[in-house]
Amino acid sequence: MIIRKNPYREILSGVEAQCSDISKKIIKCEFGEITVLFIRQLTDMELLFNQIVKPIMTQAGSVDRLNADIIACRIVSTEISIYKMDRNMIVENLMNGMTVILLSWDKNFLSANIRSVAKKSIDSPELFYTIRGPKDCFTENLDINLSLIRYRMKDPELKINLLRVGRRTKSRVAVVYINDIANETIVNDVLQRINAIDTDGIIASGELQSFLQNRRSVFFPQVGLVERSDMACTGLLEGKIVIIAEGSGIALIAPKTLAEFLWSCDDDYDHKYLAAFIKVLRAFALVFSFTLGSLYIALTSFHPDILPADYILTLAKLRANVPLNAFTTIFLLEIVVEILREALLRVPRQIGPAIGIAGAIIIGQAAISSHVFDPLSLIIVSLSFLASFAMPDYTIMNPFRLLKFFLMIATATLGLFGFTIGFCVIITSIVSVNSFGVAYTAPYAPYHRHDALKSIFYSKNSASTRPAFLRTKDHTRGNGRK
Amino acid sequence: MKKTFRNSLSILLAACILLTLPGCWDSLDIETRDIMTALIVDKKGGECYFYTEVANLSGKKSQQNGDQSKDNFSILTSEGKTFSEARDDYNRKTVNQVFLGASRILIFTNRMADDGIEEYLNRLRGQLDYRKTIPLSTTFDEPMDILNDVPENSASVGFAIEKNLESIVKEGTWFSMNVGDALQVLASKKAGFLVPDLAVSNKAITISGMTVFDQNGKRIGKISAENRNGIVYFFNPHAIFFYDIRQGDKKYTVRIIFKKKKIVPAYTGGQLTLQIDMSFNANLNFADKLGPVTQETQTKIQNQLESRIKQEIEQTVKTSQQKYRCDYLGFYKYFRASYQKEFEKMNWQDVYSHAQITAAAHVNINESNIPVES
Amino acid sequence: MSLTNRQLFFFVFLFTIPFVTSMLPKMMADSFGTGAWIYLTAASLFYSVFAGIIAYLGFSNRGKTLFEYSRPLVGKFLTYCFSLIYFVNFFIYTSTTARSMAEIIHAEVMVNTPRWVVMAVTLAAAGYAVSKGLTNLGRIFEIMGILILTVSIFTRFLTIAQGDVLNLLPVMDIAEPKKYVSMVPSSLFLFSGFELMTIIPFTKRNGTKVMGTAVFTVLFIGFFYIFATETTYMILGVDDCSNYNYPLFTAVRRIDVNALQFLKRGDLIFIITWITEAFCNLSIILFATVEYARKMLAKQGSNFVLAAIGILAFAAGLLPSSAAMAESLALHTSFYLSGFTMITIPLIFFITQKVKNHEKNISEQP
Repeated sequence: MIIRKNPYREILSGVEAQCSDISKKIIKCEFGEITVLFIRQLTDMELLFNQIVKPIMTQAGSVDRLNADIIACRIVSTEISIYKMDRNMIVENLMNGMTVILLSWDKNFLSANIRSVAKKSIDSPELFYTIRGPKDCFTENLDINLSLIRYRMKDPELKINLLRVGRRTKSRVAVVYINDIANETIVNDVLQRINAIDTDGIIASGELQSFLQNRRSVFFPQVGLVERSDMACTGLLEGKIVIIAEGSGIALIAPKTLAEFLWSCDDDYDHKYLAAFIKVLRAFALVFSFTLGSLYIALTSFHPDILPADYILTLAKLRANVPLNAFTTIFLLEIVVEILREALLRVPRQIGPAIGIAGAIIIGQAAISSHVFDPLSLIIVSLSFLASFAMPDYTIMNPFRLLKFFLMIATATLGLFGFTIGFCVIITSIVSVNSFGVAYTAPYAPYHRHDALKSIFYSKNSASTRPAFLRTKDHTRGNGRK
Repeated sequence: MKKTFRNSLSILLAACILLTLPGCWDSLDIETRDIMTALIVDKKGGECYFYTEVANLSGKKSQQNGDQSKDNFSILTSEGKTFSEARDDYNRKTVNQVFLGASRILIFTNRMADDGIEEYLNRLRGQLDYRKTIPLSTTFDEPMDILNDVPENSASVGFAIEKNLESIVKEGTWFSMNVGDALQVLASKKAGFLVPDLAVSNKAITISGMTVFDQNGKRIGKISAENRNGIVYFFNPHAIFFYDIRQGDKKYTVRIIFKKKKIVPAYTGGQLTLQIDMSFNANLNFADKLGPVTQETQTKIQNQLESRIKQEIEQTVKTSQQKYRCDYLGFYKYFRASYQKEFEKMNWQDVYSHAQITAAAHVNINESNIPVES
Repeated sequence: MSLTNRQLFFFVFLFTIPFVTSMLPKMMADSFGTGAWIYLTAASLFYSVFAGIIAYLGFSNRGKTLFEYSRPLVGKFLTYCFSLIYFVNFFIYTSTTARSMAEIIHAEVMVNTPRWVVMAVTLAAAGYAVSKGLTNLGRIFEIMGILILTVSIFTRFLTIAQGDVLNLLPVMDIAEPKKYVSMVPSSLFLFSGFELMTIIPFTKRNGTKVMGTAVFTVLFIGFFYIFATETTYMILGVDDCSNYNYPLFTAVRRIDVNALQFLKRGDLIFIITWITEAFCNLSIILFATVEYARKMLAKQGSNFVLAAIGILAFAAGLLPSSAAMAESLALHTSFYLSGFTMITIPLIFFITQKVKNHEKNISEQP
C-alpha cells in the first residue's frame, strides 16, 4: 500500500478551521484516504450512511481501481457530480448542503446531493385565500415550489433558470417562464436585473423585489406577489415570468400592471359577469380607500353648499360639539387606524379578537360619547380602512396608504381644487410607471379595446388571445369550445 | 450640475408648498357657521330689514331639548338703509359667519314687493353659495308671524314651506317659481312673473294665491288660489285638477291630467293673435250616487269639461291682458321663437294687451272608475 | 415618443375645452343669440380643413416635428422664425391660461384663495406631468379624457332634463344669415389647439387615419361647444347668459335632481371635472411651449428649460391686473398670432411640400 500525501490536507484544515459545524467521516482503503465532509444539519444521515459511506466501505476493497469516476458511476447511487479540486468549490458545495467526498489520490472530488433541509409542509394560503380555487401554496423550499409548478405545467417549453444571488447567502433564485410564449426582451431584462444584484444576501422575496423595481418609480409595485401555484401557472400561461427565491414562501410575478393588482385568480373560476362586477367593485374600493377622507374634508370645510340642505344640517349637527376641525379629525383617526393595522399584525392570536373588540368598539364608542370625534368621521375612516382590504394583492395598497395623507393635506389646504390637483398628480405618477417595459395602466392607456373588455369580462372559453401589452411570442391560446 | 439643479428645484417646490400650507384661506367647518334656513326681506319706512331663521347647532336650546325640538332654530333680524348696511348689521349680530347654502325659501313682504325685488335678486346673482333653485314667495303677513308659526310636524319654517311647495307642485296643483326663473324673466325686460303668496291662517302657513310682478320686478296685483287652474296649466306639465260636473241627477268628480299644450302666435299688420290648444286626459273618478255611466253621458261630461277649461284659460289670459297688462304667462317666448326681429323692436306689453286670443281645450276621458254602460 | 390616434384626439380636444366652454355661452349670447350653433358649425368646418393640413404635414414627414421637417422646406432662418412664433404663441397661452384658470377658480370655487397660489400649484402640477414626456402625457389624457367626456356629457344631459327647450328658439336669425359665416375668422381663439400637432411626431402606427382623426377632433370640438352653449341657454335663457361671466358654472349650479340624493346638486362632479380639464389643458400648452423651446435651444429632455418656462409663465401670468385684461390678452394673441400658427404657416408648408413633391416626381421621371 502506497501512502501518498493527501493533497486536500491543507484545504481540509482550512475548511475545518473556518466552519466548525462541518463533520467528517474518514474511510481508509488501499488506495488512500477517503474523506466524507458534510454539515449534519443539512444532510440526511440515513442516506449518507446507507447510500454513500456503507457502499464505499464495502466495495472499495473489491475493485482494482478506485477513482471519483468509479465511485460516481458504480458505487454511490445518489445524485452526484464530479469537480476538479478547488477550495472555493468545496466550500460552496458544503455550504449548499452537499456532501463532499475527497479522495486523497484523485485531483477530482465528488459532490453528492443528499440534502435534507427542515421544511414546512404545503399549507393553505394566507395572503390569497380562495373559496373555490386550489389551496396549495408555496413554501420556503425552492424544490417543492418548483415541483408545484412542474406538476401543473407539463410543457417541455417551461424553462427554469437557476441563478445565485448574494455574496454570502448565495441564495438560489429560479426564474420560470414558458420559452415560446414569454417576451424575450422582458425575460432578458429580468435576468439582467437579477444578475446585476450585488449584495450580501437575499433572505426573502421582498428584498429581491426592491432590486427588481425601477429606481425612479419605486413607490408603486411593479411586480406582483404569488402565493399559490395555480396563480403562478396562470401567469406563466399568459406570458409572464415567475421569480421564486429560496427561503421565501411568496414568489414574484412580472410584469404586472395596475389593473392586474385588482384581479384575482378566483375571478376566473367564477361566472364572468359576477367576476366583472367584483372587479369594478374593487376598483371603486381602491378609489374610495384613499379619497373618501379627503372628500369629507372638502365637503365639510370648504364646499358644504354642494350637499343638499338636509345633509348640511345633519352633518353640522353631528359635528356640533366636536372641538377638532374636519382635517384634524380625519388625520388623527387615520393614524389610529394605521396603528391598529400594525397592532393587529403582531398581536398574539389568543388575544387578537379581544383587542379588536376593545380597540374598535369601546374606544370608538367612547370617542363619540365624549364628542372628541363625530360618528360620520369614524364611519368614513372605517369604510376607507375596510376598502383597503378588498384588493387581492395587498402590495398595491401600500403606496395608496401614504398617498391618502398627501391627498388629505392637499385638500385641507386648497379644498376641492387641492383634492383634484392632488388626484391628477397621483394619476400622473401612476401612468408614468412601467413594469419591465409594459405600461402600468395597460390595457386602458394605451387603450386596447379587446384587452380592456376581456380584462373585465374574462372567460376562458372566450379568451382566444393573450394580452397584447405583454408582446408575447405566441398570441393565441386556443379556440375555446371546439 | 444636474444634481444641483434638481436640488434647487426641490427646495423651490418645498418652499412653495410650505408657503401654501398655512393658507387654507377658504377653510371653515360647517358647524362653525350660522346656517340660515329661511330669509324674509322687508322694506319699511325706507329701511331694509332681514328676518332670518338660523339653525341652533350647539347652543343652549339644542342641548336642552334634543334634535327634534323646534327650539333648534332661532330668529335673527337686522336692518339698514340699504341691503348692504342691513347685511353688515346682520354680520355684526351673528356669532359665526353666515352660511346661505342651506337656505330653503326666500320670502318678500308685500311692502318689499311693491318697492321692487329686482335689486335684491340681482344681489343674489353674485353670491355663489346662495342657490338659485330655492323657491320664491311673498306674504302680506308680518315676517315675525310667519317665522314664529312653526308647523307641528316640522322644526323649521323654511323647510316646512319648501316641502309644502314641493309637494303641491308634485301633486300637480301648483307650479314652481324659484330665484333662477325670476332672474331669467327679469333679464328679458319684457315679461312679468308670478310668485306664490303665503299667509298665516288658523295657525298654519298656507299658500293663499299668487303675486303678480311686472317686468321691473314690482308687485302689480294678486290672484287668489281659487283662480289658479288656468295658470297652472301654463306652467306645470304634470298639472292635475279635480272637477265636479253635474250631469242629470248625478254629480261626477273628474280627474283632469294635463297632456300637452300648443301655442301658435301670429302677427300680421301689427295685430297679434295667439292660438292656445290644450289637451287633457280625464279619469271619471266617482259619482255621488251609484250606478253606471252611459257613453252619451260621458260625452256630455267631456264637452262640459272642455268648455269649462276653455273658459278658465280665456279668463286667465284676459286677466293678464286687461287687468294687469303684463305677460306673466310666458307668451313672449313663443312669440320670440317665431318673430324675433319684431319682438326686439316692439313694446310687448302693449301688443300683448291687445292680442286676440283663441283658446281650445280637448279632453279625452280615457279612464273611468265608474262602470261604463256599453 | 409618439401618440396613438386616440391619444391625439384627447390632446387636441383638451387644449381649449375648459376655458372656452366656461365663457362661450356668454360670448355667443352677446354676439349671435340662439343662432350660435350655425356660427360654431361653420367655424368647426372651416378649421377642420387646416387641422387636416397640419396632420397631413406630420404624416408626410413621419417621425419629425415641424422644427425638423421645416428645415429642408424653408431653410434654417425661417424655421427658427416660425418656431419662435409658435413658441411665443404657446407661451402667451400658457401664462394667460394659468391666469384665467386662477380667475375662474377664484370666482366660482375658492373665493378667498389668492390667485398666485392657484397658478403656482397648477403650473407645478402641469410641469410635473410635462416632465414625464409625451408618451406618458398621452396616456394621462387618454384616461382623464374619457372621464371628462363622460361626466361632461352626463352633466349636459342633466341640464337638458332641467332646462326649457323654448329658450333655444328661434333657431337662427333669418334676417341676417351672413353674419354667422362672415365672423368665422374671428373664432380663432375657440378652435386654437390643433396647431400643437406640429410638435407631435407621427409614426407608422398613426397611419393615414391620423388626418381623419384631426378633422374629426375639430368637428367634435365644434359639436361640444354647441352642446355646451345650447344646454346653458336651456337653463339660463339667452338674455340672462349675458349677465354672468361664466354662465356654464351658473347653469350647472341650477341643476337640482332629487333622485340623485346626495349628488342632487351637480356641482361636485362638475367642479372636479372642470379642474381636471384645466390641469390637462395647462399641461398640454406647457408641453407645447417647452418642446419648442427645447428644439430651438437644442436641449432635448431638459427639465431646466421646463422649470424656467414654468417660472416665466407664472411671472407673466401675474402681470395682467385683472381677469378681463388676461382674457383680452389671450384674445389678441389668438387674433394676431394664432392666425399665423393655425392657418398661414401650415398653408405655407403645405404648398411648399406639394411643390417639392412635384419637383421630386418630375426629377425622378426618366
